[in-house]
Amino acid sequence: MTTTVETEPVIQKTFDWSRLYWPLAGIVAIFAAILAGLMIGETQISAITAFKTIANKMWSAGYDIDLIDQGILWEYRLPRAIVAASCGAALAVSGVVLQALLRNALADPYILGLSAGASTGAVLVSIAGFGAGAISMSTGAFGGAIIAFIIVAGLAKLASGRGGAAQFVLAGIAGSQLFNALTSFIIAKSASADQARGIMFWLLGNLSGVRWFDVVTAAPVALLGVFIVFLHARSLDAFTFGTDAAASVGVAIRRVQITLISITALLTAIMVSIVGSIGFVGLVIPHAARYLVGVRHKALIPTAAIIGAVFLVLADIVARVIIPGQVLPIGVVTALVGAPAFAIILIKGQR
Amino acid sequence: MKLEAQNLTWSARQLPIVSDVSVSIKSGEMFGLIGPNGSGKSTLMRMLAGLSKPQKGVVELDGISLKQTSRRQIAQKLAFVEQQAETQDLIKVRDAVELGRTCWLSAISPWSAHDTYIVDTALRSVDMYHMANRSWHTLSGGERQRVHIARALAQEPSVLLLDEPTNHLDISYQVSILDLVTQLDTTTVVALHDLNQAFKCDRIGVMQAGKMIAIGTPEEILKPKFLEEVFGVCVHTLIDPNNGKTVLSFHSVSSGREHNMRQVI
Ligand SMILES: Nc1ncnc2c1ncn2[C@@H]1O[C@H](COP(=O)(O)OP(=O)(O)O)[C@@H](O)[C@H]1O
Ligand SMILES: [Mg+2]
Repeated sequence: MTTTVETEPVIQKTFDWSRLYWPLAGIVAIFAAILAGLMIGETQISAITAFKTIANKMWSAGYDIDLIDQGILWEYRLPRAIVAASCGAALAVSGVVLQALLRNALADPYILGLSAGASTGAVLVSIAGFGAGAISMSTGAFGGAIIAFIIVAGLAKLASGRGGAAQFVLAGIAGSQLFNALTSFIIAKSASADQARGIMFWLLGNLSGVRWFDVVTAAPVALLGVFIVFLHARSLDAFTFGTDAAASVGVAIRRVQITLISITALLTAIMVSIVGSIGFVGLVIPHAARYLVGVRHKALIPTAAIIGAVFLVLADIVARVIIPGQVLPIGVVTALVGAPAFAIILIKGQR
Repeated sequence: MKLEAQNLTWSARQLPIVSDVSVSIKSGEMFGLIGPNGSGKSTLMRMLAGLSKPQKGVVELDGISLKQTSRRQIAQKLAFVEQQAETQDLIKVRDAVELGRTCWLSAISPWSAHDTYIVDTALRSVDMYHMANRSWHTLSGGERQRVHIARALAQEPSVLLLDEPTNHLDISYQVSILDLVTQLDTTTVVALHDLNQAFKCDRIGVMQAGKMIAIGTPEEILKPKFLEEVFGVCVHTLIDPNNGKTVLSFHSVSSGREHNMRQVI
């Protein structure tokens, strides 16, 4: 242990432009994915047509293009791609938050029952008529997500005394089962056969009904949510060695936990109320992002948001084209990719 | 900075773990905490650090109650090294030490060259600078302990609380870490399991069954007869021929007493 006396070095501050490369690359990747979402589908549409349509709609450019193509692009594919991107970013960042706060690599909104709770809330409002029209489906979903989290957290605490890591996932599984059963019960009791079919399809994740109206909710909520979480990057880092260690270095743990878990519940609820519950994105994408940029949240949060956005836009394309003439629920696609990835995480975790 | 505790009490399920402990630690003092396993040292330290709220009593930093201080303000004045803090994350040594700067940073004052300098200095003072880029999970127990201490130093605290900091350290780092802590100007509370290390403290508090049963200088406290009562072992003092200092030597209790204990059980 040498105590050499060193004077503090003076470092000139110059802006390092190379720091912009990665954020720019991320934004380009999202735009490229959305462009792919516009071009690929039952009818292939060229990139030129896509750009011309956007120019026509945004700046009344007056290009002469096929009105049917223009309609498909503008009314269906573009809102769908933007909502998919928002949803992917929101779910991935929710997973990052839950994994950091609960100190558990397997935490995500789906596993912890937030999605299931949100589904129950949404179905309660839309099918059972809870709130008599005074409550929106998103509000119902938010209430359901919060209640689900409280129940799951309470159960985990009872099971372990201290809200231990493994208990949280087990409690989440129990909570998911409970809320999924409640959802089925409500559907069986209140929905007509036609409604029930539609709802079941929606519950597995379905972007077919997405319109501009949904973009106006999903995109700002996702951007704002990701931004607020990003502001807490340093606090999330501090949870690395547990809540006590976070408190030791000056994090107001209660306030951070309540703020960030509420945001996670809100993000999940809004996305579930628009597209249904989509599994594995919140679980797998954060791990992929960590693999690329490491565990520090300042890089991890934006990376997870970007990968999540790109992944879900691509998953939606696959869902639309994999069976000709039929659209698969996007939740099926994310599960087909996510389940093997989940298995890898489990096996690596046992290392 | 002065650290004062009055009538601290903490119990779990009606079982008193720490009862009615009062202690006043002077600015710049090095205060040792000794006592058998389970005597409540860690529980007391957690209350002193503001991590658990005492059910009765108050903790004051320079006369201001911790209850009236935000977590951030506490962390700028007081750093705590837990007995054990682990992670599964693939975090680097430097990342772990940088966490100590959390209490000084905000959106308006982001990371600066000054923070890097503080972190470098903290890493050097525990001799971990050359391992700054190593992954946490590749470190030995002692190396992890040193990183935790560096993290605490990076907080630039006026009060340092260390819970058995020499636990996993090999003998050379036990000596050097304690020497480092002794040299610091900070007010220090350190829980120690090695009674010979307690000679380095200015004063020592003795915990037994949740109570602070004695406070005094090492010369007053580290007496064979008293230690025998508290720890239940035979204690002899030896004189180190190199520097004339007192050294404690321990033996198991006499077979006669062991026999008595069996009868009691
Ligand atoms: N949260 C808790 N719930 C129940 N018992 C506890 C809790 N925390 C500590 N204890 C008990 O209190 C006693 C004192 O623990 P501790 O303060 O860790 O002692 P020391 O650090 O002196 O070894 C132990 O018997 C321990 O089991
Ligand atoms: Mg202890």
